[in-house]
Amino acid sequence: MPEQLVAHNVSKRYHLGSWIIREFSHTFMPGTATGLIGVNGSGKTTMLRMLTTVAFPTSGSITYAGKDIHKYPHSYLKHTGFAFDSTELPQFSNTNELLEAILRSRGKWDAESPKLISEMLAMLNLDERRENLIGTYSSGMMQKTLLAACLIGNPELIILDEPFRALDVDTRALLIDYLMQRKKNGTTIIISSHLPEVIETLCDEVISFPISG
Amino acid sequence: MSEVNLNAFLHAKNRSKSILFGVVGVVYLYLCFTMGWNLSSTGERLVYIRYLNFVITGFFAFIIPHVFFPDSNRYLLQTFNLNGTAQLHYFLRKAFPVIALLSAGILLLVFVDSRGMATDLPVKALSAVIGIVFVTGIALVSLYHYAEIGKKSQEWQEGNKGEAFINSLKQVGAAPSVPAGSLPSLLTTTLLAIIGMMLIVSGAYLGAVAGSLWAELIPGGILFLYGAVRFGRAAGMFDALFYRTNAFYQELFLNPKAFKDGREPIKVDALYWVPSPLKNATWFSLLQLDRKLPLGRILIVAHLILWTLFYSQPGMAVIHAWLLLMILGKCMVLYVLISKPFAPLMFQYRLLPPSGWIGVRFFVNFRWIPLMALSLWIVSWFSEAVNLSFIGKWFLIDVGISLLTAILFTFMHEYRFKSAYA
Repeated sequence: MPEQLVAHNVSKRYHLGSWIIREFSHTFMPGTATGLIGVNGSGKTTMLRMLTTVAFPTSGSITYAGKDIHKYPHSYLKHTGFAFDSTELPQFSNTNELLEAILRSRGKWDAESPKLISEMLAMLNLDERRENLIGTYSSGMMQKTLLAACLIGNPELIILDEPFRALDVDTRALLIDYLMQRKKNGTTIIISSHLPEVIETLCDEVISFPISG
Repeated sequence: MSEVNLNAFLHAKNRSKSILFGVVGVVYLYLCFTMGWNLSSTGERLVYIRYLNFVITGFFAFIIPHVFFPDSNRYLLQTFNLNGTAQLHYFLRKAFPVIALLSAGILLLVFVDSRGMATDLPVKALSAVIGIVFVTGIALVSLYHYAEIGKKSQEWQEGNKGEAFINSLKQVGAAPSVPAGSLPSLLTTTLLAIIGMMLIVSGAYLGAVAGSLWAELIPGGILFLYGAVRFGRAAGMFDALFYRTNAFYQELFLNPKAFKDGREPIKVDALYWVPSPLKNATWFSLLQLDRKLPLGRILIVAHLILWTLFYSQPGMAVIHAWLLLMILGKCMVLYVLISKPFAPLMFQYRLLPPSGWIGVRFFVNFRWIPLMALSLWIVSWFSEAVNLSFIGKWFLIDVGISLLTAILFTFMHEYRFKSAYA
């Protein structure tokens, strides 16, 4: 069952000096989409990195179902899918194999999984080249693979950093529809994007960065 | 769809790392082999195991943050969402080849004997056990303390502790020479090195006082047990420890501002000894390499060991093997510069044609060649084994290996890509 993700007075800086985020508090409700907007370098990606336990707050805490996500990352990440723009994927596997590995590792592999993977890749318009090695992919195909890795296994929380970058117009529309559907089913979506139309269509609330407390 | 194996993703072979490990490993084993062959008594072998363990202690105390963090698989680890115990297995499995290689060297040092392998077999076997238990123990303790250092380091880097420290330095008019967050790492390096070396000495003392070699096993055994217990206790929450330490080192190593008060990045003008067409790319390579690996500090330690070897005269074969290990180790660091984060291929092609990168990598290696010549010249003051011809010979070997590794790594990166996609 989807739970609330709550930021309690979260602050972050990378070294002594200026704060990237200062005393940010917010509750991300199940079944809602929240858009993070702001100029480059304003702290959106830092916030998303903290929400995925890739980065740790300087002070404050973030809880999911009442548990501190940075103290219990494994139990939190069970419910979470995330995609970051600059993530490096394993070059010598194909998308099918990567998704199978993710499902197996998360204990979600069963007889239906190959069909699930196929549907996911069809939704993202990742064509027959999904069988090629990831190292040979274009930036758009790489982005689709990252999104598939995030979305496979139906996570309760979806965290996306600029997910529409490098996507073609058709895939962009399909992805928005898919996320709208997931939101209706109770999934919490947190997304950063520079595309106003995406934020307007998808998001129920918007948080503007920088956040200075 | 064929079944996939998670380990195939998490422990995928990286060709350049494998070559680096293989070459340095072969030279290290050759060094141990020649030492073993040249030693005449079993007692001497134990003394050399202690010397070797001194070096290994320094190695583990220093190298772990630079080699293991940030982990190149951090995205996959979180996407696969391994639990604490599985993460711990992953971490230890990464370290295992290094521990196995170092232990294999000890076995060679003990059992390669011109008098026959079976001579003094019980004493030799016990000496090998003493050496290997110590190596495994110091490895475990070092790995544990670095794996859990993230929380403390972050408090120093971003929090009140660091702020108070920097302010107190400013009050006395001093400037910090390193980022505040790296202080726990520096302290850990120092403590591990001191405690490890003291334990080696105390082991020798215990053995002498007790009149039994078995007593020398105690310090290594204590280290081993301590490391195993700490890891055992941390296994359930190892995911949190590991992610935090990864996050800290990623932010430290990839955040130039963290180094604002520390090492100044190299300037283009300082590379007056590099030909103009290669100067820009050489500068850019050195700039990145210096942020990843403080190679100069490692080489200074390596030269101190070289001087110690000349002073203690274990035989020229050992000294030659150490010189070779130093040169190869220094040159094989080029593997860092052909990894994707350092050398994305399209960027490489924009900067220079592949042939140009051979020159760049040669000059990256060339930076340390005068240091080698200078070090040998200093040795010539107190060792008759070193004269101008000796220095000249090793200068040429250094130049030759620098060039060969530059060619090798460029073929593995720019040329390989070119042939696959042209």
